[in-house]
Amino acid sequence: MPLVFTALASTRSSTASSLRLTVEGATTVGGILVRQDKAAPGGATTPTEGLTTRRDILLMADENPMGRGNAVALKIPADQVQFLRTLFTDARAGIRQELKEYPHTLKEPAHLRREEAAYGRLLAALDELVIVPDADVRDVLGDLAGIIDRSNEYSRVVAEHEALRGLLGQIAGGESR
Amino acid sequence: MIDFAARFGDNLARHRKRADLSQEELSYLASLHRTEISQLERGLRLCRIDTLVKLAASLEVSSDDLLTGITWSPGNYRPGGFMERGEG
Repeated sequence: MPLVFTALASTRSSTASSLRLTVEGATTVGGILVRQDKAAPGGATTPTEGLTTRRDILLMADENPMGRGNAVALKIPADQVQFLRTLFTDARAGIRQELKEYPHTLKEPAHLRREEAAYGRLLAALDELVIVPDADVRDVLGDLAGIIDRSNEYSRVVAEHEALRGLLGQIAGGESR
Repeated sequence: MIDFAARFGDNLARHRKRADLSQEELSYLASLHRTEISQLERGLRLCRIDTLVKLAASLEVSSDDLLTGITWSPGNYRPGGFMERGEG
């Protein structure tokens, strides 16, 4: 008898990252996904008539038995795919160069190899638009986001932009006395 | 016109190798992430001044050494004005 997993669509969007990877709840991942509208049986009138509870019923297991979490369907705009592909490719190339040039002096070669593999999974995910995220993937993405935010002074830029644009927005339509 | 980031990256990689340091070791010395050093060496981004100071000190070179080949040629500015015909 096949296993049937039922999950609310909203629970599938909890892994959105700072890189604006978004998830569509209704995407098929490795199985058949059926969208159901739950309503009162027989079309009976209820106090909540008109309201429905949307459920996605996945007719195949989407949980990884190795504890890596659920498969996540990705929806990434084409320009971001290009940017991410370049970023991940360069990051992986940097690791490979480091492993090649300093095979005996690296303090954490195993960690680097895990990072290299994580970038490989991220690159594959850009092709397939599906990924089973794990701790290594989250770590390398978080590191990259942090590095780029810091080098671009992202938090300061956002704060200053919002302060100035916010003020400009308030006075832009005002009449002078 | 030079590619500022690429030139800086070349300088950084050259001085790091001259110091016989891996990116990992340099990242410990400079309190930076190894990935950031990799990105800088590959010319993918520009370096902040505080990062420049950290890297130069960690490599025991001057900031100038990491900026070798990166120069600015000042532009000419000559205000306009009326002239008598024949003057020049």
